[in-house]
Amino acid sequence: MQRYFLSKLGQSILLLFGVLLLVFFMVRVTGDPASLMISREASPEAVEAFREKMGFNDPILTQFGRFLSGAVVGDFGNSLHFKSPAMQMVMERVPATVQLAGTALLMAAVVGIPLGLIGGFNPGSAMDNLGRGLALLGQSIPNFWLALILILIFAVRLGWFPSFGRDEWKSVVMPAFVLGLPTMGQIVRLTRSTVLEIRGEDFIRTAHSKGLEPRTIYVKHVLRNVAIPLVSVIGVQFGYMLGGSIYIETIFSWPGMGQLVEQSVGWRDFPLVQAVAFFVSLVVLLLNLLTDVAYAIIDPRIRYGK
Amino acid sequence: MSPEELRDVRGGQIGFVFQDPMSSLNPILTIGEQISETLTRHLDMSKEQAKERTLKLLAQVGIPDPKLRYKNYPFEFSGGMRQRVMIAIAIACTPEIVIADEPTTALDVTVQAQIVDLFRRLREMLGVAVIWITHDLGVVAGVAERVLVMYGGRPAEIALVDDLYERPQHPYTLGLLGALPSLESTESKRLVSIRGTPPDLLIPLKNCPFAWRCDYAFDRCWEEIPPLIAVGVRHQAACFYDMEKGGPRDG
Ligand code: SF4
Repeated sequence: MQRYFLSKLGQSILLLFGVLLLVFFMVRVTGDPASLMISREASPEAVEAFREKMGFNDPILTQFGRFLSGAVVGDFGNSLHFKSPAMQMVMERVPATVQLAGTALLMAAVVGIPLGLIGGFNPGSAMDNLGRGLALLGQSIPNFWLALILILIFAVRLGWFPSFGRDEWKSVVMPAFVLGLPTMGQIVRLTRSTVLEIRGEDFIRTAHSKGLEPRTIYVKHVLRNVAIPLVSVIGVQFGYMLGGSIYIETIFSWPGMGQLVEQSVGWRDFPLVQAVAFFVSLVVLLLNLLTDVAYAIIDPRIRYGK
Repeated sequence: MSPEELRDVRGGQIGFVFQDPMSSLNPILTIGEQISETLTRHLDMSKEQAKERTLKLLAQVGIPDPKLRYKNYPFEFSGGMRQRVMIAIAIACTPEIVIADEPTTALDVTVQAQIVDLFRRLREMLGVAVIWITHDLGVVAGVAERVLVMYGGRPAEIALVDDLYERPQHPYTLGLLGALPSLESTESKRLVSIRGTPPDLLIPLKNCPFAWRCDYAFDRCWEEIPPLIAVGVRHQAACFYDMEKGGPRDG
């Protein structure tokens, strides 16, 4: 278990380093970073002054060293647009994104897992058909379209929910629904198919041959095995959601990280883009690490490195 | 029988051992847990009592170091060891009958012999009757007292094991024995196979299920289904043809 965890941790750290490398060179692949960051109308003197100020005239390794030493303490420089520290601006967006992603995941899991279980245990039943229909819809409706339709109906016509912003608790409902719907569909399908698969396994026949009560068999022998793939999918999906969904946050004017990405790219605010990219990668890596641990707790085969 | 009663019988009075030990155990529960859950289900034991008994069972089926193995998972066991665990589960509640469905088919030959041995020993020790379902007539000679040969979903012949091998009274049994390779035969002899394929059981039978493939078939075989007929001491065969006489059976 310890070795498993350490190797995963090592992998994550390596990956993080790779991300930093990418983020650093992202601004420099096209050549002069100064020309990317400053407006086209700036005079050559102004560009040169800017270059000198940002340290772009130093050798590349010196620059990378400076970037790294800043990055490890979360310092990505100041936002060009807002003049305030980039990382701090990212952190300000975290609560909104966590709220949105958390609500979306909760909705997806609370609806998706029971629907999938019911479907898997009673395939062909009315509830199963309902679940599968919802799953198909959830996975195939484009989210920006759904977002607009929801705004049209529930915000404009009925006035039940606000159409934008994050001013009241109701604000989160519509964006979270749109964000969580595809994940719900995925959870329904995965849960259902895994339940069906596990129920057909030989060891379930063995459990029946012991005369165990059906409830014991479902909970102890089926559900724990179903949890294994479910945990990994939920982990991955939550990572995506925490990365901030650019469309949804933009449409609903949700002040999260996705919106920040959209704005910072639009303003060509590179320190900000770098800070967001790094932070999102960090979150996803941490989440993957957490998923791996959860995985190992459920599945002894992984715990003991088999 | 209601489902509840059936559940009491399963695992309680009848134990099961299945063909493939690699897939018959739950991969994410410990061996100990998988044995003791049968005990707590049927024998009204506490967790500690069940654990105690599980350790004894593990020793009984020949798993070394039960204390350590109790906490192991199936993937840490070899095929033969897993089959021993399955046997421990089957005999956990000292059932009257153990049904073993091809329990050695998926195992190495050397391991097969060990498992057959274990079954024999447990049968003596616990006085449990074993119903051994198999295609392997070699194993049958080694474990069985009485043999029931099935064909097309019906009993073809029932006999004590020696009697069956010495004087098979059903053409199908004869064919099976002819298909056995023998180490003693010196000249290279082709193994005999039974021509044709088994009948489609979805079509209701009106005649002997073996008639299509039988060398001895005659008119009557196509008109009736042969019942089991006494052909010797504790020996019955479902066939109209009398092997010893070399013609149709009387009556
Ligand atoms: S009853 Fe007739 S067909 Fe059937 S096995 Fe005997 S001889 Fe063959």
